[in-house]
Amino acid sequence: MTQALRLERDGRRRQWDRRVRRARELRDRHPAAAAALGLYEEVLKFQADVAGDFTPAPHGEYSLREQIDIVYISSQVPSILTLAMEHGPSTLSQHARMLRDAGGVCWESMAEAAVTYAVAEMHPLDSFFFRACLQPVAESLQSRLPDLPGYSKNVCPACGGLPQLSVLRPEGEGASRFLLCSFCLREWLFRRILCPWCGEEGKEKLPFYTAEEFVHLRVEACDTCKRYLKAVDMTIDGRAEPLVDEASLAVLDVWAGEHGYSKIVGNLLGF
Amino acid sequence: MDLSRRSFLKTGVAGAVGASVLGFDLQPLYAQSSTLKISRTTETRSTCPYCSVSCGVIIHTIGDRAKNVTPQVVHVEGDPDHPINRGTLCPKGSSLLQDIVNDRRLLKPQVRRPGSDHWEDISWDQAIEEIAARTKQLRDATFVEKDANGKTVNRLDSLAFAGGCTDTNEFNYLVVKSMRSMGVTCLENQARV
Repeated sequence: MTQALRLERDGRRRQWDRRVRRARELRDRHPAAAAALGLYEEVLKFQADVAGDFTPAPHGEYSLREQIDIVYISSQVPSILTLAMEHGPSTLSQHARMLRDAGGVCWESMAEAAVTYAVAEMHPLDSFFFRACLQPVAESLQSRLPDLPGYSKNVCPACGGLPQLSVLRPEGEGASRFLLCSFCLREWLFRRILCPWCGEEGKEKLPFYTAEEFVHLRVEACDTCKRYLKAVDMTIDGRAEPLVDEASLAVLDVWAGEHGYSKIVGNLLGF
Repeated sequence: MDLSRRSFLKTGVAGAVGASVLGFDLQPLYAQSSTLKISRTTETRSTCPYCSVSCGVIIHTIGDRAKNVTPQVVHVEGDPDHPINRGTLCPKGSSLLQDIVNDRRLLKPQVRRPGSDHWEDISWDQAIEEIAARTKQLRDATFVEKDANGKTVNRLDSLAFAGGCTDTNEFNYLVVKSMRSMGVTCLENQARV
């Protein structure tokens, strides 16, 4: 491995380590989500190990999803199953036991499904394990892809995935909105005041909701399609880790559900 | 925006009763959700009124329509999507919120009498009366029908009008019509946008 590739891989590993630390930090701040964050911290450590282990060799001829080694993903499944049995709630833990007994052939076919857009039809209890393995691998693959200036669609430019969350990053005296991919964790620039699901642009139809208790998170909703995403505002808390901060505020997902909104894509923890 | 190949069902956070899809206890989250103080904000794209650069801004307005609360502007930021400024603003643009909500904004006309050291409140009616009277007096005394070469000019060079860049187009239209019809040439609306 070249020095450059090693440095890049170490950089990706450090990003995952920051996420682990953030999960630990947020556990005290959000006691109602402590169990979920406790599991997530362990998952992030597992994902950090996968990222530290895996060196992508992107192939220009194939799409990102086609380049994912299903056998490699299956080989990571036993670790995440064990993790879920040790740290997950009983529903997840029992499901992990069942999958463990199902064995490698089953895991490979489930991994195949999780790599395609059919992941939408998988139950979160199944997709949890495969998304956990796929995220660090897909992230490593997309990290070597160049930016696409002028790209403004609502699906990921690297893998076609749906957005998991929004990130607001400082831009002059305002904030640019980036969408973060639910599959490969890539961020791409997306317009403000525009629904990522249905394309609604009317300002009265696009409210955002903030809780006084934690203003750096918003629920970006659309009253036309009733979908939402949570947004992490880095102009308010620059130390946030978008993936982790979004997951920690499951209470906002509960609130959104109670008010008739449904998320574009559930996060790894099922919120 | 074609998402037809995605057949996501509208699922919520709940799996079994009281638990999330992965089995986390939802009770503490439901309890916390009911205590949250949630604000509803809408974002409106607009243009900074101050100069001809016409930077884009986004105005944040809080208001829960259902509870009949008067909408209130709470924040103005640069519009990151605007091709002119891409979210940047000069100090005047950055302080646009104050333009709208600062409690030291003048809300009524005031007058400082000749030789006086302070401003006094004056009613709109009285202000208009006094301005109209002085304008007529000045115009009657100084209106120039023909210049030194005998050419008809119909000018009123002794009166000037200064507007402001935050004035609306509708207001500026009335200013131009009324001032030009009186013969005023020194007219600055600071109309840049």
